[in-house]
Amino acid sequence: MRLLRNIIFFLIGIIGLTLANISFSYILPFPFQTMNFPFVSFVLIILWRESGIVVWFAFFSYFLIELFVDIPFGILLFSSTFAILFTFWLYQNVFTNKSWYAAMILGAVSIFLFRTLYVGFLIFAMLFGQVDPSWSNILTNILWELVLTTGIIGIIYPFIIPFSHKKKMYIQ
Amino acid sequence: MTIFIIVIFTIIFHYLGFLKDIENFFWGILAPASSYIYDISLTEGEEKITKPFRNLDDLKTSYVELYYEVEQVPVLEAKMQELKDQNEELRKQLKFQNENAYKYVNGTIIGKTTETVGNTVIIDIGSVHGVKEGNPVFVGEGVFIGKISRVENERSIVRLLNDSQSKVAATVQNGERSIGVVEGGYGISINMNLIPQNEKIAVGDVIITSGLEENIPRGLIIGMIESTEKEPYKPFQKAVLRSAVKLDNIHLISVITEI
Repeated sequence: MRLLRNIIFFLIGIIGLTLANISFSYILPFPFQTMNFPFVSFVLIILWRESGIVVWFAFFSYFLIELFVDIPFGILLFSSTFAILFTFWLYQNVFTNKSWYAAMILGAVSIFLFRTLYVGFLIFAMLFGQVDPSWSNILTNILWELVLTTGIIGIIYPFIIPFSHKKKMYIQ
Repeated sequence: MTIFIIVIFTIIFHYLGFLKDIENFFWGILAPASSYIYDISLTEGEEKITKPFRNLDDLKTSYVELYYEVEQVPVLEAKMQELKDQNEELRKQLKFQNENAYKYVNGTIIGKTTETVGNTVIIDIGSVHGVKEGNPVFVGEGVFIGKISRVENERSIVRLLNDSQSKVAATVQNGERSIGVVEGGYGISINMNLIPQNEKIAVGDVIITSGLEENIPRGLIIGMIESTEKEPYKPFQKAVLRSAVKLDNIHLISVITEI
């Protein structure tokens, strides 16, 4: 029963995240539409729950987000899953500090890694004639995405820190 | 290591088509929501009406009911306007379809693609409706907006005219019927290139598809010339075009599946 409940919550979570990502992209004006809502959620989940489940959450969410993109399948899925996997490792081994600036750096590193992999794969796809992107647009959007996503993480983080596992352990 | 293997296998299985059923299942859930959100993004803000005033206490209940009813009016008006626009658009498409002997499928744009690599939109018709890669997409009375760039079972992606990968053979409706290639300029412009240097083109000339390209009939309207660029040392001249419709505000489309 508990497993079924968890699966239902997980499905609702990934569908909700995909729809939120679409909504931000369609409705918000530039540059706010460049904010990466899924990554804000993933980084905050890492800081709050401190569980590796977030990597699966990223994998399944981006599997759905891939339905709404026109670049070759796999680029977003691979880049996002590995960026979150590495972010989780960084959180456990490097950014162990619970300060808000550590959370922001963690968010910035995860977006940077995600987009580095993404751009790498895009260049690869471009060599095979699959895409012909406007690099100036892409770089502008990535810079805005980095600033806004990191900023939002910094704003929300102080509200979730009292509920995080590590903080609870320190209090006890 | 496990996640690495799973990601790789997911990508391989996708390209082999093994995940089609799962993708279609989730698409069935997400498409209506995406369409709804896209419609909201197209709707402009409505003016809020002023609150009617009554000062008798015993009429308070009636007042509240009336207030909520009146509040619904702008929503109903917006819906009516939307239906009116759709009706007008469908009439235009029907007129064009009756005048030409091509085979068509009508569809709706249900969303934009979320990554910023190109200017593309998602439509709710796919291979099961007869849509194929390269098919031309138009609105209204034959206004060309782009070509199908990817087809799935029940959805397709349309590469809009202003996308940097978009190319279509075109003709200028001038005396000389100059030909050239209309190309997108990274989502911000549409240019007609490869127009022979010695031919006369002018601002305001209408550009149509030339019919020299497979699957794309002659005569679909692309846009009008907004400015021209002519350098004496170059073999070809170039024109900057204005699309005949606003490419970021389209809802109903038709795809020509056979000419």
